[in-house]
Amino acid sequence: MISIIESKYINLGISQLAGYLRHHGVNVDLLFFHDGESNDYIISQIGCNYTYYAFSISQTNVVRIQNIVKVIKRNDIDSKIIFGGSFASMYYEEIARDIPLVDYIVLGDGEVPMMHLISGKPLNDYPYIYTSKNLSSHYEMYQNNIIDWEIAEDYFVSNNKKRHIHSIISKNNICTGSCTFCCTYKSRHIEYKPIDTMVSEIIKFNDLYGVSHFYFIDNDLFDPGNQFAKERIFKFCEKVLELGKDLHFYCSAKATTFKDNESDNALLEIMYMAGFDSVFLGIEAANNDDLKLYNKKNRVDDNINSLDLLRKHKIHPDIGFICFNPYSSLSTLKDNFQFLIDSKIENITHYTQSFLEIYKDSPLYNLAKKQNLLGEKYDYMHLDQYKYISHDADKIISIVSFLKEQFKDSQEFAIEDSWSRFAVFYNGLLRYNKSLEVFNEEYNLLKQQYFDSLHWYFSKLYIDNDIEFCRTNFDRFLLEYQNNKKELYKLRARIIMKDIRSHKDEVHTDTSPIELK
Amino acid sequence: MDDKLNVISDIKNENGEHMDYYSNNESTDIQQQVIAVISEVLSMENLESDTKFEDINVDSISFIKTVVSIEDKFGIEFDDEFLYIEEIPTISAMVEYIKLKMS
Repeated sequence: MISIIESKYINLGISQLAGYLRHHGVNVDLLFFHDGESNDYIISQIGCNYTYYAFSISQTNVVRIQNIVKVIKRNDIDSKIIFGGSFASMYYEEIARDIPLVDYIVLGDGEVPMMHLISGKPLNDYPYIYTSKNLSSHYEMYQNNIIDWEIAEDYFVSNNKKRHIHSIISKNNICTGSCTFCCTYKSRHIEYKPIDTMVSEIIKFNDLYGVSHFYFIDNDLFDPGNQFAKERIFKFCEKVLELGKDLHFYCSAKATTFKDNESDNALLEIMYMAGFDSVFLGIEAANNDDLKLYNKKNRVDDNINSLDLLRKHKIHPDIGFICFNPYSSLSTLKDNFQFLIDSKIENITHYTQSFLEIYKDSPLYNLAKKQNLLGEKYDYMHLDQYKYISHDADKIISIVSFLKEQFKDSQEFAIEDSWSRFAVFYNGLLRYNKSLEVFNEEYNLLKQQYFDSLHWYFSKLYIDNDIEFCRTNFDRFLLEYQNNKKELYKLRARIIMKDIRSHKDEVHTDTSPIELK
Repeated sequence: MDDKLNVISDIKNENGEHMDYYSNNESTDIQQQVIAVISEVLSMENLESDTKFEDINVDSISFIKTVVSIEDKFGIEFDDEFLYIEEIPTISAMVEYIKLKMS
């Protein structure tokens, strides 16, 4: 199974799938690659000794995987190529049309369909695997509504990358949101995994592989956001604290989950103590028009309050954010930018590449199609090629063009965001090693320089709409960005050195998922 | 950054195959000690002087762990600019840098 993704993070979905298959006796090699690695290198690492080659497909890797598949098939025409993942599931017809060398496209959650395929069961009338020879009358996505299998000990052991990270599912595979940009419909029936089972899983992986970083990959760890669900995570944190281990956790939540009340403050406090470094919030916008368009339950005040609450408890907020959509106006763009900069959101892609992607069959797709907003260039590879209907449309199109021209293909900005990863990393180290606080002043100074630079440059774009200024001063901005990053790397290296020296006999830093290069 | 890489390679070039400060035996000894340290830190065997850290999947944190152990072993202190794999991409580059710092 092969993953080629933008960042050096592992691909949690394909890892889980590999773990499931291994647990069921299938001999699976798991190979992780990232965008910086060439096709030749990837092909040399993959080799040609497998029966099946399964790729996790996304919009960003489909073209290069097409080229890799050609080489695999040239070497062994009988090898079978499998595509999977949410993007391939949504656009299986288009992908099969454009890449005829693919033999199977697994639709939806891959665990059960992959076992079906590998077991050699008939595919005729099986709706969860697309093949050109399958004459099914209809296709649909398989949903793991209930995760009822036991953990696989080798879930996330890859063959070529040493990444000591593990992901946990805390309940069945559901989503209680109904965002209009989403086209993945999941069950809303919640069945929780017992806390003791989750803690056992953590202990097992920590003991077996030294794993200390755990991702909760539930859409929202706190579903459905009521007191029972929160108390459940509180109990989980109590159990984790009893372990007395230096652990790190990451999870997602809604921007409406946390309120500034006694019980939520207590929850966030114990989450921090237990090891939660970062919580991902589906904030998505900083103006109520966009939030209503996306059918988000959160409003701007919820967004601000959630960020404040997390930071108050030293938990780093990571956010989902969409700046541009067909209904954007200069006013919504300005509000979005002002929110990002005021809230000190580090991720530069939110400032440069946060275009709504309209996926087929999502409520927003149906709306945009009905209103004839999907442009001539709109297709499955160009999901952000829609029209803008605001009376400022010309200006917005100029801004969009400028951002794509300067930032989209720039390696400098394509690399995973430095500051947000580093902030999470530093936060996590500080919890267990207070001696690192000596770096706080330098850290804060560098961070302020970073935001000063972002504010100087992007306020000209989003507030003054002065594209010419941004074009003229791009090189200066880039230089400031690069210099800041260099200083950040140096600081990071010194922090890690001090941490290693502080805990010479411990090994917790070697399991960090943070890879800045 | 490229200039700094040149510093290491220039020193190597100026002094022929290896630096003047060290005899071939001394250089070989340093190299063997470096390989021993790196092998221990990274839990890897069969490392050669031309092994690239990137090729053996050394990430930035593992690299710094290596640097810490080498600093302790040789009583040197790495400059901030040389705390990245990009600056010291191979074991032989590491050996050259150590020789430079010890000279």
